[in-house]
Amino acid sequence: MTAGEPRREPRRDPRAGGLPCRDRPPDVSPADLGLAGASPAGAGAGTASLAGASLASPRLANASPAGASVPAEVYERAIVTSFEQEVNAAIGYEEGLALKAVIALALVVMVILARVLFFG
Amino acid sequence: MTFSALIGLKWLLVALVMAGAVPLVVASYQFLLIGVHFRRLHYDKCAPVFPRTAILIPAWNEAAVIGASIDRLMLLDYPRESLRIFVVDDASTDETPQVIEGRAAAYPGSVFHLRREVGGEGKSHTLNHGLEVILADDWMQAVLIMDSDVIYEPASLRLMTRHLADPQVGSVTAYIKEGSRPGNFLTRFIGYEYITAQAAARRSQNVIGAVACLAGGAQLHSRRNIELIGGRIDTASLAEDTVTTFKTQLAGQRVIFEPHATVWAEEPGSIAGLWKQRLRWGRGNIQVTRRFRRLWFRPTRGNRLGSVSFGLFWFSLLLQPALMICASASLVTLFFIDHTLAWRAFHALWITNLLVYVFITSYSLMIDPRTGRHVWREGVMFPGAISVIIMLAAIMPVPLRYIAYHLLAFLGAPALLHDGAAVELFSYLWLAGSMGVAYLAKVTETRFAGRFLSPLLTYVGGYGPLLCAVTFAAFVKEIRGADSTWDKTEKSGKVVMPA
Repeated sequence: MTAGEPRREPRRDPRAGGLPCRDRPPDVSPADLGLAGASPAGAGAGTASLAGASLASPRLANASPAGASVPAEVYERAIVTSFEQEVNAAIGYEEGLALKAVIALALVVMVILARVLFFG
Repeated sequence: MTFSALIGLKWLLVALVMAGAVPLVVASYQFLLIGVHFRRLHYDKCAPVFPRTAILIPAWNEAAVIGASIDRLMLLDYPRESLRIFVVDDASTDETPQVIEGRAAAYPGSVFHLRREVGGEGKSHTLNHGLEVILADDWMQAVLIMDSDVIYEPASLRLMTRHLADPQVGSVTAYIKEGSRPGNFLTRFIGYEYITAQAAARRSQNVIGAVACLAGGAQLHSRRNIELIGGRIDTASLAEDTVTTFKTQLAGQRVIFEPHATVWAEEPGSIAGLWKQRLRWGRGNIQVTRRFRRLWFRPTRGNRLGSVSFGLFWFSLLLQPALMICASASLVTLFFIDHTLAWRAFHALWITNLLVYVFITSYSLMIDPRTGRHVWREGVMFPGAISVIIMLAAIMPVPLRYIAYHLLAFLGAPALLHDGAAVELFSYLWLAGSMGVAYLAKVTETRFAGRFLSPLLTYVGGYGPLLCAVTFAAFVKEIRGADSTWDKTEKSGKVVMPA
């Protein structure tokens, strides 16, 4: 979101008991992002292998196909599920900071009042 | 001197006194912006993408920390095949190469050891060695530059990469927290400082759309961005991370601070170590100020680095020591010209200081309450005990005078309180003098009773004034044209990520 652009209100997700959920960005694909071949969630892991010969350092001789002890799909499924929740939690936290700013300002007002009323 | 000239001088001095409050007023403005951060969030352009990420770690004699860091990185909540760790060993003379080789064997295809046979040129040269190797292959889509001692929370990398779904974003940085355990008074001060300087200040920089610095321990760049800035890290400055941040934004790319991606770093546990680190940062910032001199206060479309807000943020920190010295000197001069006016100016200055202090301290502790619970004492004592007393005296002079009278009577020196002029002059000088006391904390650290005296002087003089003293020393070094040698902060591996 840029300055001046109206903030998009979160949609309510009936499956989540009416909790707000964020719209997924439209038409986002890794290729658009200069991330050709990146793994978008749910699309499976990138399959590029290391072209060791193209790397300059002989130290890279220990390169071998990446050993995925946990399948990427498992990660990604969990992450897709949690993405919306994490974003919502973050938004909630940031909105809470606005309230905390008001509390901090209220403390300042109390100090001014104390000065004027009791220690003037 | 004519009467009108005298009046003019008096008001000039009053203005210089009040200029001492400018950094704090600007800091308040910065903190107020945090309240609207939720209106400027970038999440609606995020998506859960997992670019193939090369993690680049410069390492020089990091045997104590590098193994654990790699182990932690392998536990990141990120697809393993989209992650590769490149450790650039800058001609280490300890067991660093063996540790890296061990991890490369333990995590085949995921950890790579890049060795520089001739090192010691500085972090940016080490990073460039790694970038050259990584960019030579088209596997990498994003690069995470980090320090060897930094520990990433499992979700932190993917919380950062989701911002790269927006093609306008070139770089993302995370919230760095002080993680030394067991800590000491200094690491707790740094812990509080990082709430204000990272969790708070960077949120407000998100709001104005200009970020001052990608933390050296957590810089995520898209490949495109690295290529846009020339494929190399600047080697001419001591603040290579700030230069990278500026170049990224000047290339039209956005820099995002992701406050919910947390990484833990080891910070200096001694004032000498802190002084060395911050002197480098301070000199680097002066170099950046000079290098981008045509940028300041010249807002252009699409580039917020030239905005007035960002300029105020930048210069109020950089010039704070000079403004404090100016305010003190003006108060003392005014004391001898017009005693009443001096007292009123002093009172206005410290009332302002108090209000800002209450706002920033209380808000900071609420921004990160988890860290706040651990460091709240250092937050309260951040300006120093004497400054806190002066602020209290500004807000409630009568009760404090009563307490002081009885305290001095108890100590057998009630006459001190009656020497009002001396107390007044001391208070006027304190704004600049606090930096001197903080400097003494550094000097006494290695002397007799330094273990006791140094923390005491830091609490009395203040951690904030200590940072101002470092900035002042940075100016002196730059004016003298001292060598820009890279003085590395030593790490011992005492970072612990809380459960």
